[in-house]
Amino acid sequence: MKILRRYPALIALVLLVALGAVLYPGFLSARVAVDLFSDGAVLGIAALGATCVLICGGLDLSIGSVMAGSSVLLAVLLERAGFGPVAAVLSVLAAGAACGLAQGACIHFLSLPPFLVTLAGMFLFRGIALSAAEESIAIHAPVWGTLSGLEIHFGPAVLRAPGLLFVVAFSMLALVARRSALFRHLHALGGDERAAFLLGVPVCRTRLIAYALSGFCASLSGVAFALTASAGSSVSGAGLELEAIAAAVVGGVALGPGRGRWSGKSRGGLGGVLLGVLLFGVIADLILFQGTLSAGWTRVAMGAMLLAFLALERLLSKHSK
Amino acid sequence: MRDRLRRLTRARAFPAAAALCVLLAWNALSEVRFVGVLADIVQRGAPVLLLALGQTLVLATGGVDLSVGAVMAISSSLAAILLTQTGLPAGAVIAIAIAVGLALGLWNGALIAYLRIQPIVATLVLLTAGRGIAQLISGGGILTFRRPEFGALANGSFLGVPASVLLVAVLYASVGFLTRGTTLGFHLEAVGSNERAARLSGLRVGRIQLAAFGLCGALAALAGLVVCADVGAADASHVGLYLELDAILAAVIGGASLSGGKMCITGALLGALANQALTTTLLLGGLGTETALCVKAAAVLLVVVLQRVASRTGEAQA
Repeated sequence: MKILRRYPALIALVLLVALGAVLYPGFLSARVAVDLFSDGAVLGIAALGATCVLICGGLDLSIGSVMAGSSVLLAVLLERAGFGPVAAVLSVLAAGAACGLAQGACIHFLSLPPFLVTLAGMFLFRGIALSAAEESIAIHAPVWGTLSGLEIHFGPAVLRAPGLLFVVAFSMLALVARRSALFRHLHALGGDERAAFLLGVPVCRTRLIAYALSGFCASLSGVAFALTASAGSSVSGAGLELEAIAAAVVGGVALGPGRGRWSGKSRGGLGGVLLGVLLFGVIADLILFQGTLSAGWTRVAMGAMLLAFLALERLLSKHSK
Repeated sequence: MRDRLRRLTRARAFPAAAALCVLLAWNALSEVRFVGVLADIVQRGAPVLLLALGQTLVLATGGVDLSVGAVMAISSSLAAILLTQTGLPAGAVIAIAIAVGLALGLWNGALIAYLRIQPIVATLVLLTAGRGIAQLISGGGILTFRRPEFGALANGSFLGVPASVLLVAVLYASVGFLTRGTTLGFHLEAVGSNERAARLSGLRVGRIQLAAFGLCGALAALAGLVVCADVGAADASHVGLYLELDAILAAVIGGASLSGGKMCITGALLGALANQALTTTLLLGGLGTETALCVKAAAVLLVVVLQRVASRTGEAQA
């Protein structure tokens, strides 16, 4: 019962999967389930970073642009600069983390609203990506082909390379959350910055790490995009930041500062976000299986889902008072 | 003299006015057809001018409306489908589209005022779903139409003044009157600076929030109509894309505070014009849209940092 209360997304996920299983033969299969991870990798990895920032009471609107910029940078490094795949991926991730860190520094040291700084970042990084390459750059490097061909077989189901990346990223971050004080600090910062400072939480370091992690995850999601599409594209990822935030909210992450309440655990965690990403994946699958509905419905359904969860959160929090 | 100068530089709309003056001076010196540039700024800027006006009202209440771009997409798709599929006169189509925008704005307002959802999140719902709704209305493709009486909304003129300029002027004047001639502006700022205090002193906070978001939605719908009248087509997936950000930036440069409680209609006007002047200057200077994006982002950061420094030194002196 407690888990249902904490993760209402789990109920919705089970209900939607049940609906799919009843309506469409073949919906309830390992193949569809594993594909959720592969297809949701770009959104999922980005949502992990968004969660870190949201938990500490911030907001990162530059995720989509950083993701697009990273995919372009990766393609340029591999195709034109002759980097090896490891060096290329590492430089891309470092660049992404640096983008996030720079924004975090602006927010912290100049005490500017996160919303505004990352909005400027969104324009800036998209602009840089577009001026680097207006059209998408195909990646022909044979090593990259091998990399994106990596897959793990579970019987008939195949976990493709982007999905593998998502699972690894999620596990690593979950391990960090479990083993280090970072997430405790993030929660404290999101609950009440002043109280956190007085309790000895390293406010500056924690906030910078949160934004750097968000940039890092965004560029990792750019790598996942490059694995999926075998290309870098400067117009990809439009609206990704909002989908990532929506997935986090559906997964139970509270938005905005805690207004002086010590909200601690109730600000949500990584498990919920995974559920949120899977939920959006199932919605997209249901619309795909239905076959006649247009793509517009996916966005409408996502919006409706977001609204339902916000209303539910309201009701639950009223109930518990 | 020094006192007057200091008061001038502290005025809320000063950064926007200064930026606009510098940009215009630059254009006046470097462009031969300066009048053409001016007309271009005002005419191309009409959608952002309208959005900035609505956004200013919402920001004053301490909220933010992220859904204006999606509302633009919905209103332009709706107008296009009504114009092509039904024989309704242009006036009726415009009225219906604006009414729908108003309803969407009221929906946002209701989520915020009665369900007590945070504005960023509540409008995120419509931002996510809105473009989908627009695609459902239009059927996914780009709808084109030929209706000169509807196109007049953007390209017509009255006594030599372009219709879009006239539209912007009338709306700014009437919203300016609504907020400064009646108590509405005072109430909006009261809700934005301290919602609890406003409630305790007997203001109907819910209704005031509804009014702000409703007006913002209606203005966004109108902006969508201007865009689609201008090009004679509606593209559900691109109309108004990223314009919510331009609108917020214009309002913030114009002196609106993101934390609410402050608004300045003149500032919004100047901010939106400065925003458009920057875009036009960059494009005339031969820089591509992509470089323009970078420069705009840098400019925005510069402006907020300057504002921050100015307010800090102001506090230190006070």
